[in-house]
Amino acid sequence: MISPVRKAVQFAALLGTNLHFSGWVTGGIFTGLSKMFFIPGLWCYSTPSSVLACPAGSLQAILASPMILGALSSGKPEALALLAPIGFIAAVGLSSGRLACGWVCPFGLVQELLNMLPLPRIRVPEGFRPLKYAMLFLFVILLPLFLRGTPGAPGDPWFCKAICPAGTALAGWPLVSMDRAGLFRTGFLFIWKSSLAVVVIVLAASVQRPFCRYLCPLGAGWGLLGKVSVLRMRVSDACVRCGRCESVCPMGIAIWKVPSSPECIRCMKCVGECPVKAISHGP
Amino acid sequence: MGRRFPWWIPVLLVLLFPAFRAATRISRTAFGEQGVLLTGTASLDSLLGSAGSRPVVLNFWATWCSPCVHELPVLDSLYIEMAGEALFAAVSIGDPDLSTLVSFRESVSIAMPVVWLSPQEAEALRERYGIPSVLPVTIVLVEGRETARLVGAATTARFREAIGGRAEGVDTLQVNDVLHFYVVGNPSDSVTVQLHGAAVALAGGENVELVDPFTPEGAGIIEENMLPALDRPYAQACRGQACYTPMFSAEQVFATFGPE
Repeated sequence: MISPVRKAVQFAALLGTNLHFSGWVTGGIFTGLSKMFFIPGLWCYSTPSSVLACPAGSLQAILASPMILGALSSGKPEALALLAPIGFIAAVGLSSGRLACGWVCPFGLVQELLNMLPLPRIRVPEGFRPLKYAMLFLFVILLPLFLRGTPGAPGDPWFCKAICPAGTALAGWPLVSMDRAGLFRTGFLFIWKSSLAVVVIVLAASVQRPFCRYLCPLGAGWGLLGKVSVLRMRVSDACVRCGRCESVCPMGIAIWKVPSSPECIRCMKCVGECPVKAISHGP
Repeated sequence: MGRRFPWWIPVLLVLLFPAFRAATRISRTAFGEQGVLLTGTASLDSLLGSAGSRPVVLNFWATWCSPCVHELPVLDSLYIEMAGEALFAAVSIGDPDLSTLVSFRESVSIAMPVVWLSPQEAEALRERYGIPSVLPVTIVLVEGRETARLVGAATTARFREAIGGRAEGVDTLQVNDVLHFYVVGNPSDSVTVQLHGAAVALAGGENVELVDPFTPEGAGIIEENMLPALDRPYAQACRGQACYTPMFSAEQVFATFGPE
């Protein structure tokens, strides 16, 4: 019974994040007060209908601001702005690991919908998975903080700028296509990011949740915190090692071998699938 | 292979390309700390007054002049290297708005003093030193007397010769530096069409480049050549390593370059 409930929650989250419907007609983005609040998932705040803020995008924006290095090194109060996205990410991760990925994240739902397309299934080597940790530590934290023209100049949100396929497909493409005022210049980065987005979209039809598996910096952070989170998966001694949990897992993990896997998005599919009810969740 | 091979490393190296590209661009244009920005002829004169017997290197430039923007880091590295042996100043005489220069300095760091002049002051300074309508122009003064003049972007070696008094006469544009135009604008826009027509009539089709800023190729050409990003169509004429101020009508193009 988990599956329909989860789908309902996912669609409700998608709707709740995207209440500014008129953005899709006017080609403008929402700038109201609700954008002070984060969505527990990855969804570009420049998506025309978005009314919430992406935690990964906000973290990069603060890290890339001109004052942050000075504020961090001299302990100025401006550095406290970092506590908002970091505190939010930590609170979500420490309470439930990647539960938000499986139940709330709108881009997770988009990938699940893409996976319903009738394309041949493929198996991607496991060696790609650590890429998402590089996305978190390099593209979200280190590059925005340190790659600057001169000391004191602003940096760039490098994950948003050079990688994020959610931003490209659901914000970049619609905003550029509806750009009647000629505000946007498209060049190398637009082509680069569009190519990445096409790869992820096509891959999503053949592999379940490729962005979550290989690229998502939020999933990387929540996965690491999920190892010690309050809500965790448990596998009891009743396990008969039938492998059915692995076969239904959207993240392609063998939960019976590694119950604390940082890949687990707590979708609970395995709980219902286990023939001996060996899998449970709880503190 | 397969399960154990760290596939994420080669993928990461590929994904780092845009950041790497940005980092190498930064290192091409930025040298150390941002220097001072002075405004007005009085500030410039007071700076010149502090030269004493040292040579003075005055570089006349503008943010819309791509050879100037390419040349600045070259001159700036020489400024840093000479560490006070000569007095340097980059004098912007083609930017009517100070804000243009301020935002330019947000992305490019220039260690030597930068001086901004209002259009009236710039005109007076052009007359004082006999600066032509192309930029960049660099003059070297020793005790108030001009000893060398370089018109068009120069190399480090050429600057050294000019400052060291080893450059003979005046470097001017060569006869074989043919006139060429960048026409920037939407090709279906009537002003762009007229500008393009005027440029082709004066310089010949092979010396005119029509750049549509709204296409990836056009944006790439603008970025690569550091052409000015203006909110209306323009034609910019260049001769060798020197450029004229952007022009906004075919009449202006003909009046500047047409037969007497």
